[in-house]
Amino acid sequence: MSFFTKSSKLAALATTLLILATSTHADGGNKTDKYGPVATMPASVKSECASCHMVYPAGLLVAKDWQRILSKLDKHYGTDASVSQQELALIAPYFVNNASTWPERHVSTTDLPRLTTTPWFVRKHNELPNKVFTHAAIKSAANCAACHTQAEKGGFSERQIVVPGYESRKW
Amino acid sequence: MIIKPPAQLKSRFWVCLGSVMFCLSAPVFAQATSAAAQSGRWAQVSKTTNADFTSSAERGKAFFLKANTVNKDFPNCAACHTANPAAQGKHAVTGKAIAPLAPSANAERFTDAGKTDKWFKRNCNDVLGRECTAPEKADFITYLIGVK
Repeated sequence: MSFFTKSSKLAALATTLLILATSTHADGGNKTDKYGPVATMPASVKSECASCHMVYPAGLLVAKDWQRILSKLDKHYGTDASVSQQELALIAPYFVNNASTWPERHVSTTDLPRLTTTPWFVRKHNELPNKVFTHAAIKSAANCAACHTQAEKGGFSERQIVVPGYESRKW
Repeated sequence: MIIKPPAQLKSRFWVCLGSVMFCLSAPVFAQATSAAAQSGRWAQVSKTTNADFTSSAERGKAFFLKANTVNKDFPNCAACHTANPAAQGKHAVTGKAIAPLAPSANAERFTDAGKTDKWFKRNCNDVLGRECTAPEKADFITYLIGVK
């Protein structure tokens, strides 16, 4: 097989896969589903997680990290967020099934996993000065919706970013 | 070039089915009650150790506002629920809005015993480092019922 045949076959394969991936995306929703489906979020996930903070996109941590978080809900970043076993059984599959399959991007090595420490998150936010995250209206890097105005609906497009203290800046 | 496999469809189906089943079964879990009934329940429990116990809104208010030293983020109930339980609260760490706690401002409050018990456990652990006692719960709810 010549080099050209080989490369055109590869190109055809890559294109097919790309189309498949894109069409699956279009099928499953839209850009707002990019990091974790919002439309199929179980009511129990909303009521249990979103009472205190926005539901973080499932696709921003690997399954093993979600399991580490869900197994220690009684000691959840400084608060008791314990749920019954019955509730846990309704919540856990959403995160595990929609978790990232890219360990090189979305593994957290902190004691309790923090998606804000993953290589992907750090790279995506590296142009921001640290003081941005301690701004009174932001509080911490975990407060996605402080700047990503559509975060709770799953929207993380750069056009939807408004950073308190940097309102006029485009990202 | 790595392309994310379109593997989410199957799981989406199960998540979808799961949430539909949950919605259907939710009425079975819900234990409909009221603030007065729950306050009464804890007052009854309190009477088993102190026959003279009667709930006090005044004690409940003091409990709501008392600053504790267990957790600097959550010194008291007011840290998140504000000093006025009929007002909208704000999570002391995340800043997330919390619906008013007083039944006069939020009719849904204390109408699900399971939910009330769950939040007593979580929040008492956070603020006091222990579960709340029956008299504390009876006073606390009595105080909230009286907030207009």
